[in-house]
Amino acid sequence: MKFRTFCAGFAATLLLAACSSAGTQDQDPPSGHGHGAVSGASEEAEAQYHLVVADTESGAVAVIDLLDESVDTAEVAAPVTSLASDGRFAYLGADEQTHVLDTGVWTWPHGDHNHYYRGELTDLGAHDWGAGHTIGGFGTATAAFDDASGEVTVVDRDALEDGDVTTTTFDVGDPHHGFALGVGDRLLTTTSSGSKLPDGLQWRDHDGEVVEELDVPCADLHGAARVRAVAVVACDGGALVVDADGTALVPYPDGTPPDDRAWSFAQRPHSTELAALRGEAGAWHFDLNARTWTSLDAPNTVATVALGTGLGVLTLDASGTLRHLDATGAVVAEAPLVDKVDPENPPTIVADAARAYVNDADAGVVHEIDYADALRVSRTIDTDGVTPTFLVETGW
Amino acid sequence: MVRRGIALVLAAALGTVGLAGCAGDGPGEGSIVVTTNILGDVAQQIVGDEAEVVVLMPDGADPHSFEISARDAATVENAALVVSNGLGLEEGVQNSVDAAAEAGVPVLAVGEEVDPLEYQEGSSRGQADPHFWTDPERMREAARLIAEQVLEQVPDIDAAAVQARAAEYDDELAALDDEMREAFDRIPTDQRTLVTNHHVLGYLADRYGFEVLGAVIPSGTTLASPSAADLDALATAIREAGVPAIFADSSHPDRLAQVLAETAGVDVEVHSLYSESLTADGEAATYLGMMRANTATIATALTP
Repeated sequence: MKFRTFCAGFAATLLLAACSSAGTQDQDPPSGHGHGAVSGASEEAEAQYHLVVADTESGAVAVIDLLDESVDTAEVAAPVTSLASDGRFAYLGADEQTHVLDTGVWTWPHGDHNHYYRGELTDLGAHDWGAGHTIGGFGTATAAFDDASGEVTVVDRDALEDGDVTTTTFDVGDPHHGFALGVGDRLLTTTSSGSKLPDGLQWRDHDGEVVEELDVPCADLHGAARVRAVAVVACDGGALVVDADGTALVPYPDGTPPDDRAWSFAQRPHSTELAALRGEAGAWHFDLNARTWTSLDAPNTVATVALGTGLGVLTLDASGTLRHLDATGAVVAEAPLVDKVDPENPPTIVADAARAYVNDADAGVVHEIDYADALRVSRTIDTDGVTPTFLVETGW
Repeated sequence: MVRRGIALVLAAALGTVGLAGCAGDGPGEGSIVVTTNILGDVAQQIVGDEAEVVVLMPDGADPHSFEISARDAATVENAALVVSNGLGLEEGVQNSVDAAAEAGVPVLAVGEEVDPLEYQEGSSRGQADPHFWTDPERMREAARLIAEQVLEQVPDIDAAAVQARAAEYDDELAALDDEMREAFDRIPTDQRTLVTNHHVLGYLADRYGFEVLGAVIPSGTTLASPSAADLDALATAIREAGVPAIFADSSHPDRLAQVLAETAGVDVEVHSLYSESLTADGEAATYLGMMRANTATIATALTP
């Protein structure tokens, strides 16, 4: 696939370091990437945020540089069924395969400051990892779960950063709608005793050997988030917090109807606060540090994200109204934003440290929101003709 | 950390300077291995062609995060002398330096020997600040220590030649100090404030009587369409300092100046400085060049 570049925007052309092939071939490989070591990338003064949007029907993909609004477009197989990001790589589910794009931008968190990198956008092709969740992360393996076979594909992160897709596969048991989540140098994998949704969790090494069976005091696991070395998994009883000490269930507040359980989490990268939809009643705010759930009233919410650092959550409802709620549920600001919300494929809200983004498929744009300024629309971002059914952000 | 406009293609290549043939020996056998390119330049100026100087950190790289190959690691272990900045600067190669020290290779961690300052604020408060090179007086001491260790540790070196080169370089560092003091003395006392997000200026400020006012620079995506709130902290800092220029590591210094003027009513110039790494070519290809360039930028911007 060849990327087509369309340039627009306010800024002078950004320096894009070429990935030099000369002079690197005969060098010894670095002794392991660990963190932030880079060849073929430049270090930058600030985060190099990009958006990736995909059209479910056509398989068209646009990669948008948020610094200068330049757009690269590409095609993957249609229909596109999912789009996930780990801050650098975008994983598109299409035709029962996973298509991997290296957006070439990422952040290395380094104590009290960050390092920001920018390299080349690279298409790493479609891979037979089955149909299910693919989850990556900085400093840990990417893992894909095939719901039809119960097989996990582990992708070597260091090799992936060099453009090589090197995989190991193993079975976890009976097929189910599960996941495998890299945390440090281990994987958290699901098992099922017969139901479609998993009811068991194991720590495994990257070869699939079970390191530890975990105590799981709830069922119907779905939705996993990673916050540093801690995993948070939603289940029918609450949030299961999994760390080196084992598992701890943080139950939903008393009286929560079963339909209001959380199914998946969304948060600003590195945030220790998470958000989830709460049935048709609104949203959840989950504070990992305090281990508390807060129920937020916002009827017919179709998308939400936690802003973290005590800033609350954003929600979008079925009528297209965007709301900023604080962590107690009080409305900070609200504004109509999206004219037409498709109930089948509702918009996504992603947030970074300064702005949030909402894809508007019907209008063919992404709205950039200054959430600290009463939900002001700071920019309306053109996607170069690609209908943005799905949205993720990279560069974090 | 990075000055814009400088291509930073980080090939895995070693910045090998004056590589002498060493067939038959292990890589870098008997050489002087220097971790950072700033100290690498200083060592090279002192040693000349009298010994092989191997610099581990590529031009334009970040001293915190650069890492080395297994072959480079072997070079470190075969060295006659390892010169590092120390004080926690070169995290990516610290293991290799430690391994060499354990194997008996003499290691000079320069930062620890030049009376380091402590960070005064932030989460690093109380820890030693590793960026001593922004003070040329401390660099004179560093150069003296490097010369001393070279003479002591590198076998069969022409001591007289090294001593002569070291004396000459010391004169150049002393001249740099004089030039900097002269340039900064022309800045009115009440304008000697560096509003900046560069975190390397503590030693320079201490030597020449500047106040450093750390500032958070709005990011590129924020600058595309900023609100007053996005710029509030920075604009307030500039107003309080009353300075005509700030020193910011920003991808879009001109845009930052424009939005500060338009959105916050603050009229300042925005300049980048070289900070932690020499470049392959140009004015910052040597330590002396980098310091003169920064001095000119600061003095010109703050002198009426």
